[in-house]
Amino acid sequence: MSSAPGIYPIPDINLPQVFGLVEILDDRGGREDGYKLARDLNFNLSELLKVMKAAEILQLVETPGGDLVLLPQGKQFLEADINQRKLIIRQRLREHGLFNYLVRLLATQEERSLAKEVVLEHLAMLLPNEDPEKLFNTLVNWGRFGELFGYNKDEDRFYLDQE
Amino acid sequence: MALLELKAVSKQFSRGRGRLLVLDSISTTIEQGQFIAMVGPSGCGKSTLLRIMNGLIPPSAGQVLYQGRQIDGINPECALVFQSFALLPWLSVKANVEMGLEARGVPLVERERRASIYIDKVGLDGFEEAYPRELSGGMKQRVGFARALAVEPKVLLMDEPFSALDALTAISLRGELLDMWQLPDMPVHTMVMVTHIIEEAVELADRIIVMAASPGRIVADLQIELPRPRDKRTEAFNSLTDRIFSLIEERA
Amino acid sequence: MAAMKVRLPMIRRMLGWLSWFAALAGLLALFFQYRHRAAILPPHLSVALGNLPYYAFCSFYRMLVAYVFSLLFAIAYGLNAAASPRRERFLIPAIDIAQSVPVVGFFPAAIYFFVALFNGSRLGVEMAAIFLIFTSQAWNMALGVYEAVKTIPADSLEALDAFGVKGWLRLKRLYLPAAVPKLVYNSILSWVAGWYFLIACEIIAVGPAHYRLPGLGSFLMEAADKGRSGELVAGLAMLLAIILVMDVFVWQPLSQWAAKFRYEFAASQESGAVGIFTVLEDWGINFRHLFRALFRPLIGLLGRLPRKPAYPRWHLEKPLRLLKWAALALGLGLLGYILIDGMVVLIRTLARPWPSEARLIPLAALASLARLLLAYLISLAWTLPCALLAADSPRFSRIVAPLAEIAGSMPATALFPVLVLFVIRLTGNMNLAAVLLILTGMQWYLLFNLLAGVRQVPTDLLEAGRSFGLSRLGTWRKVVIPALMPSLITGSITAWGGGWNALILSEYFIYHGRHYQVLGLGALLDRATYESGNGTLILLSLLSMVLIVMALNRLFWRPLYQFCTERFRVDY
Repeated sequence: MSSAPGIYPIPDINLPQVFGLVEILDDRGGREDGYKLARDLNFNLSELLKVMKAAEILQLVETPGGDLVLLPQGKQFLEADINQRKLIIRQRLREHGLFNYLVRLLATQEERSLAKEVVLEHLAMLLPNEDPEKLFNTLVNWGRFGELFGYNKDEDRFYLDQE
Repeated sequence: MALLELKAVSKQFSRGRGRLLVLDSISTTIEQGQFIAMVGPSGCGKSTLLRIMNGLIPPSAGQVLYQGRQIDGINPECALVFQSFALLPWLSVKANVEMGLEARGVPLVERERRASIYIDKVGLDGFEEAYPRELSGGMKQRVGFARALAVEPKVLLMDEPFSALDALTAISLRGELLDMWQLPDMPVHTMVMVTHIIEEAVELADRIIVMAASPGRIVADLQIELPRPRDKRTEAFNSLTDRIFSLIEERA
Repeated sequence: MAAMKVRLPMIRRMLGWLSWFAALAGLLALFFQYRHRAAILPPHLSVALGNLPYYAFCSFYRMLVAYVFSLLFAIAYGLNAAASPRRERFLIPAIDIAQSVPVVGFFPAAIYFFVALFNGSRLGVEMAAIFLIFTSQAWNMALGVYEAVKTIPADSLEALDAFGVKGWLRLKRLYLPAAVPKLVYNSILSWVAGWYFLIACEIIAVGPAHYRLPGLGSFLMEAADKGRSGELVAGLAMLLAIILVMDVFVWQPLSQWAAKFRYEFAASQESGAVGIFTVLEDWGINFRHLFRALFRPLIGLLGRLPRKPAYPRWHLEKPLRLLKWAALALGLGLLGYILIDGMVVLIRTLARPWPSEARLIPLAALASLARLLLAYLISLAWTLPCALLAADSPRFSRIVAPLAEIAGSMPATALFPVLVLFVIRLTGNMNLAAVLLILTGMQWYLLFNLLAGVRQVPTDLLEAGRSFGLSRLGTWRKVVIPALMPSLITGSITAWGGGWNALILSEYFIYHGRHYQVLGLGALLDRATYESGNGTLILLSLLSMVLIVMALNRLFWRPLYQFCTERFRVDY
């Protein structure tokens, strides 16, 4: 079974790691070899690859070959303050297939929210090769940062943050 | 006037059959607006010194003066950020941040307002209702920062705040700390950070106090004049780190 | 921009609130309806099925009252012991001793005391029963609170110190939440223990006028005595129903809620309650939403309580502190008076000439020990293979574990009437009956601990064993049994504790007007209480029992446990 068209998974890493990656890339002049970076930082290579992938999804870097290249919007991102960064992330998330799908799904609900179980079912259906639980956690993390989604664990509500 | 002054502060702990002298007659002053890093090998008592500064631990000898007066107990104008984050797992981010304010009897509405502001400042907006176990290390430390900033201290004391984080998150958080420190509307402009990573100290601090162990004492007090943001690849940066490293090494 | 809070669908909320109100109202209604029945009842109770709900309610009510007292005691005691190293030094050993005293031995004494206090009314007997349940619950809950508070990570304590969180706020935000997981877990265990002793209390006809408390235990006893098997089954079914309902509607949701309060690195070794709940879920029946609806309103209410600004205000601190000291002094004074008075009575009783039967004590002790040993070996003989099978086949353990839990939460004492009915009628051999009764008090502890231990055997060790070609027997011998040793020892310690308690109930029996007894410490104690009323003998037998239990614990079980945990600990 393949994933639904246009919808791709996101790696399960945190946004601060992505920002750190972009920063260090900038420190090194905007271009670096991925393997070398992992070695220098003493970072697990497969973990770093995930961070690179996430940075790519957020359109902050490019990854030609095994290299990391800082994109102009990545440089802009670095110079922005924390609130501007959130706006940028939010914009990028909106453009991402999976987040877009969830935004539209939530918008059609009464109270614009869903129980976690329901979201997990949707994720399992859309991306059958991914672990829905892990994916959910990453979605919540990214969504919260971009102030796109919210999740109240006590009341089990995954909801659309105010527009 | 110096904000914080330490006069011949010593600290002994009774261990087993003897007494361990952890700090030996430390004297130094901390001025308003400085970013000070304390570096040294493990066992040099830098964490203990930090806690003495904020009044968590009393000194065995010597005095700690805040704004000219001797402190007696916890100094409410200092706030601490912990290496292991020290968040309560059953409280949401918002409740954790409000904790210091709650302890001071700040009424509910004001508490929520202030907590909101600082949660926003550390970039955790949207995470108010999250619980610590849903957060990564970097996020948890941000909560730690928000909690400390919410009580609007005059001095921010940080005990190895980034050493429990992975390399990339640490980089990101360090940058944000610097950004925050330089904002005009921040309540606190004096920071004391304990770290064992020399690069971190050189990257962030105006002044580096180098310590040695057994017993803990100050061996050097360096002013860092490099303009920020500091570039790790420059000659000046590297010579500084080398110098500090050798200072520590020769006393080991 | 704070996140907006959207309200829960109204229906679910209403449902939650309604169920709470219904339960509370139901309890109150029952209470008022039955209050007029408070007159002293004759020794013979009616076995009419119509009375069963009343009896069930009486029993449940006693459990609830005792539990509330235990809870309050546990929190107060545990917090005090954990908060101050000075107090800890005598509070904890005190509880240790209290724990090693077999509870049921105190029932006759409690009856005399409370009945005298309440001038011979039934209330005295009720209080004695409640007190007994309390003693079976309070100690382990207090220890749980103590442990929970002691294991709070140092940096949390530092953080709260650094931010000036003191007094009531500290209690509310740190100590109480930290204690919740252990409190919930120990509450579950306490209710199991409580039911056991309550039924035991209700079975015994004790006291100067041979009071028998109306309740499920006495109902079962009467039914057995009169040979009414239908009523017997109904009584047991009612008991089982109450226990199951509590498990499903109270303990499971509470355990889930308590999980929120765990520190992340605290390994969930106590998530032993697999429970029928999870088995049903496996089969697709999802009760979780329903139960969460039940509990959320309560939690929401607790969260919305108005938060007062934390004290201390400087000018209030001194008088408050004086008040605290005064209350403490008063309490300690009272306690001291009771203790000294008790000691005086004790010494005076012992100073009287010892009755001739006292010679029998050493022999009786040996006989009792022999019976305990036999029961223990029988328990081991079937629980250990069970555990080994569970280690091998997860399917087996998934079926067995919830069944074992239900069986274990049924108080074995409820089966005493049934067992006696069978054994005495069939063989007339009291020794056999005694061993069987002791067995029921021992085996479940053993089984639970072993099953819990099995769950903790690291699967990679098992796999390693198998990959090196170890046979099934070999894996058992080389991997599973050594890994189980600590649980085996803990289980054995608790099993023997349960055994001692069961002893007092199993060595002496009045059935159909005849006395059945064997030579043993329990029989000596019971005879002294019900027949001769000889205070010295009661005291001597009780003391010997306490001494033997403590000696066994200190000289045998604890060192064994130390040895096993050091040698067999699975640590990386």
